[in-house]
Amino acid sequence: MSQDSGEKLVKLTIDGREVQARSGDTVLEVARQMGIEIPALCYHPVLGGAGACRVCMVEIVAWGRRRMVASCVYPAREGLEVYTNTQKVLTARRAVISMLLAKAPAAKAVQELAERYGVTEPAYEPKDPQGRCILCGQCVRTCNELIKAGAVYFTYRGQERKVGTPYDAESAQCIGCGACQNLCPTGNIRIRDKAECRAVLTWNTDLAWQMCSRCGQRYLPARLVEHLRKSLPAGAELLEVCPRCRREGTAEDFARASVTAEQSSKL
Amino acid sequence: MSTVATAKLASLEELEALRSSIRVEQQKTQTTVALCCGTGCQAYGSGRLIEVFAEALAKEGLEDSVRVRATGCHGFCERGPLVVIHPKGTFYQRVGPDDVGEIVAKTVKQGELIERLLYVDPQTKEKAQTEEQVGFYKHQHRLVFGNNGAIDPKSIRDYLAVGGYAGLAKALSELKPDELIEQITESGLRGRGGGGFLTGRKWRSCREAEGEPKYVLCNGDEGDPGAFMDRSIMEGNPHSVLEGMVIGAYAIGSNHGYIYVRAEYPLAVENLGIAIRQAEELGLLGEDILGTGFDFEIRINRGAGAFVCGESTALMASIEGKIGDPRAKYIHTTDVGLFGKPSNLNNVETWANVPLIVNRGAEWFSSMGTEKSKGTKVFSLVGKINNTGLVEVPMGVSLRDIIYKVGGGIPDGRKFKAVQIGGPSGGCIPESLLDTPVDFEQLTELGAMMGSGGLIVMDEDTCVVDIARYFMNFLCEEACGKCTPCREGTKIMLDILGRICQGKGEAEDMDKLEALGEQVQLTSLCGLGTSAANPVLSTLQYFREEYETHVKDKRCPAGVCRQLITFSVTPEACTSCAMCVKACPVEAISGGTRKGKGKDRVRVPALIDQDKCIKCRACHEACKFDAVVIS
Ligand SMILES: Cc1cc2nc3c(=O)[nH]c(=O)nc-3n(C[C@H](O)[C@H](O)[C@H](O)COP(=O)(O)O)c2cc1C
Ligand code: SF4
Ligand code: FES
Repeated sequence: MSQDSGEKLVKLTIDGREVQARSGDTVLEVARQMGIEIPALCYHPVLGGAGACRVCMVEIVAWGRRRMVASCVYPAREGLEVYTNTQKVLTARRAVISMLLAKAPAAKAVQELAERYGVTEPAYEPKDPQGRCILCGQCVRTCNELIKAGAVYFTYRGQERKVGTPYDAESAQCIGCGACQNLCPTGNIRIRDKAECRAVLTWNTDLAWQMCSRCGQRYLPARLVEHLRKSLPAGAELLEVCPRCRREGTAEDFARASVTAEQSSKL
Repeated sequence: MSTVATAKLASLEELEALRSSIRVEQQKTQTTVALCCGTGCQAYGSGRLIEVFAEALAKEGLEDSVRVRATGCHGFCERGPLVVIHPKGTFYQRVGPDDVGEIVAKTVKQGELIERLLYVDPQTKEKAQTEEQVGFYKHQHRLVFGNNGAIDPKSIRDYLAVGGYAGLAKALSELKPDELIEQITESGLRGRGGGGFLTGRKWRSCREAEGEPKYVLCNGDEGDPGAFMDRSIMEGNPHSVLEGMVIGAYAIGSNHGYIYVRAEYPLAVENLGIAIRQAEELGLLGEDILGTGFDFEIRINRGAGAFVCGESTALMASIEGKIGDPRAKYIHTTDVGLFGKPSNLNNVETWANVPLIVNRGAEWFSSMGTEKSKGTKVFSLVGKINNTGLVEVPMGVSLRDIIYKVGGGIPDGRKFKAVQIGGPSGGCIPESLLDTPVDFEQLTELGAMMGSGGLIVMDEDTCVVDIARYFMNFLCEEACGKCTPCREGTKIMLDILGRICQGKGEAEDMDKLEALGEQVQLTSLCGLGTSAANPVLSTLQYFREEYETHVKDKRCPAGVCRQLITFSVTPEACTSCAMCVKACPVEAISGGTRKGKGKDRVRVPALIDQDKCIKCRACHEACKFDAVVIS
């Protein structure tokens, strides 16, 4: 994500190849546009990088100094030299991957990285063989920055750090939108739609359904409908009915409904 | 009381007039009893002494001519409560309520010394009559701390009397912001909070950064275990910090400041709060400072006491009301800091140096110290050392001088082993390198760092593996947990160290620690992680044999690691006094007494049942004859 809005163009080299980039872009984004693959677990194109997982480490030379940085948050700068594949980078990446493999042995994204980088052993005996969460924080940022529901946070510190609702209590803020589940790179977030409610198991929260005012069928969690009504006041009346009834409505309704659907799918 | 006391000062002349009037008034009191009310002395009960002194003076009819001044920390907490009687400067230590009557009757009234309250040098056995004669003070150079004993921190009048806010007046009247920054840069002042960044350069970056408003921040988080120098400045001389910040704000072009101070420092919070109010009342803070049109306000933000919240970006997140997690600083906080605006953060001690430099000039400041480290540095000297306390020495002084001259050496005739410098993520320096001068670069080169100035002295009874484990445990618990290598890596290192201390170390463990330490250093997000391996790496560098003895011979040479030691009694040395028998909490010791009557009475030496022994050291400490040995 752009850290400053400056549209200034800068020239840098990545693995010896010269490239032009906007000064606000991150090294990771520039490299990916060039087809250079850098692994990244806490980066998402919409959210940007968090600089937390540390698998995206690269070497740079800037102001005459060589050092390691997290490419997902390091801004492209004039004259910067980036090396994404040195021995030092690979050693560091492997070390980090082996730690993540111990933390989240069941996370597919981590297993794949481990395979790609030839990491066979976790850094320590995993405490939870079913562990999936790598603490990338994408769910936290999605919930707070994107959806602005404010339901999940990091809780505790250090080794004890987790993602969750405050005190792991049922959340009065969670709207059951499922955006966190969509963005979680490790499939850690479990949501089950039951007859009586949508159960967001990972956040210990059950959400009652909204019933369609036309057909009486459940279609979205009531709190989500409420949230959408507040954030999309223009299409408020369309939220009263379920998508199927909406499709069966007038041609004009249909056109407007699809706009709404598009907007909500962006969430 | 002077009439101008509470009116806002509208000009520099009014400030000087007020200062003169305070001085004239203070000269009327001949005698001042400076009573240390720093946190250390308060723990010894100095708070109560204020009243006791007031009563005793009243009894003698001296309440108007003698002033009792409750001051901040004098540094020599070890010997508290401390009392200094001016103008002679008579120095009394370990003063209790029962001594007060005599002090007033003899010393205050007649100038007589009370021998038993004088400090006796443990080495020379000489008695010191004044602070200057005490070894602990003699070898120091107290600038930042210079006024701690001379002012009541709750009184702005005291601060003005010793020349307070003259630096601010000079800055506002004689110097343009650019010149001021130039002066601070030339003085060579570097950040006292750890990194040692050139203060003037930081100010310049912030001044030149685009964006409004700009923030000026003070880091009073001080999370290092055992460190209390920032605390003592905030508690003992809060106005010096405020004055520094106002000068900095003027140089940088900022109107808003925050002091971030941990809530566990209630006296610092209180005294800073009082100081801010007093400075505002006098127009030294707030709107239109000294009638110059410059505005600057300061707010206090209380932190919840997480070590990581001392890190600049975590501190800013915390002020913003977010979780105190650090973030990448590839874009400097001088450009994008608090609330996304240009922000300049300096440590408490850094700020307190600023008025001194403005007052006395860059050249004066840079005449002290080494080529790249100027001025003085305050250290908190703790551990196995005779004189525990806060010491301020010029940069460039050797660690040996701090430990032996100021600190008075190692107690109980034990041998020095190592000194841990730079806080939890500092390094352990061995005897052979004790002549290293206090200098940012040289300490870093040794695998230690200046840090914020913690000095923990260790003697031969300290196990370095155990020490590394202790610091790693601290860092592991205090890590925020955001980035993978610091969160996971510190825990892995801690587990390995724990294993070694338990005698379960493996031959590869040392190499593993080094390799892992290097990766954690290279890949962590913030300074906590990038320096977390220092205690392990530096002890491995200088004390590798001790690790090897733990791993290969399953022995702890210092006799600390419980699983690796046994306690036994040397029968020849045992006098059967039974002290160890009484001390043992699990009744593991038999014998140790005398049996029989008259001529038949025999000594039965103590015997420790190894199966019952929990290795608590109680017998070892109880034995006066060194008969309980650790092997
Ligand atoms: C984990 C960590 C803890 C820190 N704690 C403190 C602290 O308690 N006080 C402090 O002044 N600086 C602390 N620092 C250093 C600050 O990040 C920052 O560099 C400093 O406050 C800048 O001021 P200075 O330039 O005057 O030293 C800490 C740094 C790290 C990485
Ligand atoms: S639950 Fe998923 S998105 Fe959230 S921190 Fe864990 S891995 Fe990341
Ligand atoms: S993707 Fe850069 S640190 Fe996670």
